[in-house]
Amino acid sequence: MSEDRIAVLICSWGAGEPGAFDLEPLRSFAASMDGVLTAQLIERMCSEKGQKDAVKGLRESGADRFVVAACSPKTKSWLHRSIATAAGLHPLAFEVANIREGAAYVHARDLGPRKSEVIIRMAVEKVRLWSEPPFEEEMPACRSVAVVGEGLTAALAARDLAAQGLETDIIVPGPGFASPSSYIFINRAQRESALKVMREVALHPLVRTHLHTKVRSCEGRPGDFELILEAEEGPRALECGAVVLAPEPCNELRGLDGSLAPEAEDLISLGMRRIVILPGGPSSGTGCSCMTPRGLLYALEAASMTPGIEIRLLGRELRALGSMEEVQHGAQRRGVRFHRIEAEPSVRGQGPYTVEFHDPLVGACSVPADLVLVDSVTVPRAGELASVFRLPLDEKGELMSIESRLRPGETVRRGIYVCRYRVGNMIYEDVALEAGAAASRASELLLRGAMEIGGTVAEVEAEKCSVCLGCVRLCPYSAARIGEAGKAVIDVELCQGCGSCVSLCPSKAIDIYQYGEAQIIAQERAALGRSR
Amino acid sequence: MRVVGFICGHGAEGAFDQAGERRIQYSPDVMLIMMPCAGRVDVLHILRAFREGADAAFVGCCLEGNCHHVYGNIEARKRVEQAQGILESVGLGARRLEIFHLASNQAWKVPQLTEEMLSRVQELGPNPLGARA
Repeated sequence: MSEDRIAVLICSWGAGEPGAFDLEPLRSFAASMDGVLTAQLIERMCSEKGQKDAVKGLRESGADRFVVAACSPKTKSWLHRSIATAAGLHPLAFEVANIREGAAYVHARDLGPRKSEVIIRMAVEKVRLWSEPPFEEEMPACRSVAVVGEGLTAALAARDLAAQGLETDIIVPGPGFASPSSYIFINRAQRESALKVMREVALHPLVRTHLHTKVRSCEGRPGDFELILEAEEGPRALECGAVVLAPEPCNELRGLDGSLAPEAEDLISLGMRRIVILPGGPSSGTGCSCMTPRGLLYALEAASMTPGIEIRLLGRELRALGSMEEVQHGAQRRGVRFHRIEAEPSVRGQGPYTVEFHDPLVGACSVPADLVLVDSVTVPRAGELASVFRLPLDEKGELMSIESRLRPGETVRRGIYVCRYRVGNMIYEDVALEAGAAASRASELLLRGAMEIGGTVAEVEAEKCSVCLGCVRLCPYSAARIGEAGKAVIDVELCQGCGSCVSLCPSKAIDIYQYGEAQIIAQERAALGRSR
Repeated sequence: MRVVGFICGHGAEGAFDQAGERRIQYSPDVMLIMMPCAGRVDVLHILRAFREGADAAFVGCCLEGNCHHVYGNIEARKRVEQAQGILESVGLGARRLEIFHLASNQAWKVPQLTEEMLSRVQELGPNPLGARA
């Protein structure tokens, strides 16, 4: 018998609706495992009574870690944490065995219980090897946010932050806010509401605006950053808890020679009847992107002023959401043609041009054009911001956000958020959403009360480190560095626990809490029916 | 048959969870091991699975360019390719191992990919190391 003290709590809803299959055999199976002190069926663990029962069960059993056999860890892990804390255990001293989405729901009724046994065994073997990670909950030291930007996006973010009661500093590199002319407003009401936001921000008591100021460096940790500002009167420090980057993007239609597109009304007098609008984006590879609203509006304008003009828009996809849908319909009714392309088109000639591309619907196309325009969105100061805030750029040269759907506005550095512009995001309503997303992430960090540091984090065993710099180069969060002792160190505050460095390390000097090397191997063995 | 799936905690775990919520059935021979990110998957984990008798293994991760941890899935692809080379040279066959890219709303891919791995096992036969107790 081992000396492990593990409890297994099986939620009565773990197998789906009660009675989906009999949980009692599962309970006695779990109870029979080595090191398991107790296995209990808990009536609906996410209810208040269920939680109380779970805490009571844990306390009485004297277990120091436990397995929850229930639904996906994605749904209720926060609850299991509070159960652990209430039972006097470490808040992360548990493992979830997902017997619902992992077994009961996806396998035939007679196979579900058998699979559940394996899943529970895997979780028990994993939690057996659990060790206490560095983990603290800390209050953010500073409840204010710095917004770096010079225009409407910065104003929108600042308004949202100030509305939550956070002190907000807007850091504007130029002499004042840029006029919102590069945005697309569908109607006058939108333009007016944008101007209203800018006025509101200028007068808000919680918002301070620093003109002629640039950020020189950003040190510290989430909740407690120190920015060094470079202003006309000399450098000074600014404390803030979070940073929102709102660089002003630039969305333009330009000719192949780099000149700005002629006004739509001048096209005829310039003798331009055949126009092709290409999507912007990287000029190499297959990275052809979307047709943007800017191009759509231009096409609509030109087509409605000059009947008989021939306009084609090329792009990987057409995104005309919300009020842009009407613009697209209008353009289509007036004869604008849209071509889907999957590879970069080639342009030959010096005007008139020939544009060659492959449209999956009509095959290979070769189109003559008097004018070829490129519709691109660029963020002029992205490179500078990236080096000041130590953030990576993506393949388009924009500030990289981690995952636009699951983690909107987040950059690789926690506490630093970005309003990002994808092609098509220059519409006012979209910009407002991006600014709102970044602002809400920042306020979530600062207003939640306590911030978590640690948990699933990697740690270097200094004796084994051969200083190959693999982790330093690989870490997407710049959390790995060579420390004072000349060995790799992973910063607990920056590590986000992806574990890439652990598997990369040739000396096997790095391990990660919660997903340790021994834990994964134990799980593998359990999954394949091998004994411990 | 025993198939081990290393599942990243974002796209792939989301897809498998959603398959569960939608009651999309797949074979119980597929055993899932949750990873914080596909970048956590080591060549050694994969080879270990075969040594312990798995007939096939796969890595499930986010769509390329959409990794929750920036480029964990690219790292995973490199490691899968390395492990495939090793499996081929020891005679087990590179086709016993595959990497699948899943967004968390692509539950429909789950039965497809599990069937794919099971049919490969049927084609290649059981893992000869599996018989070793």
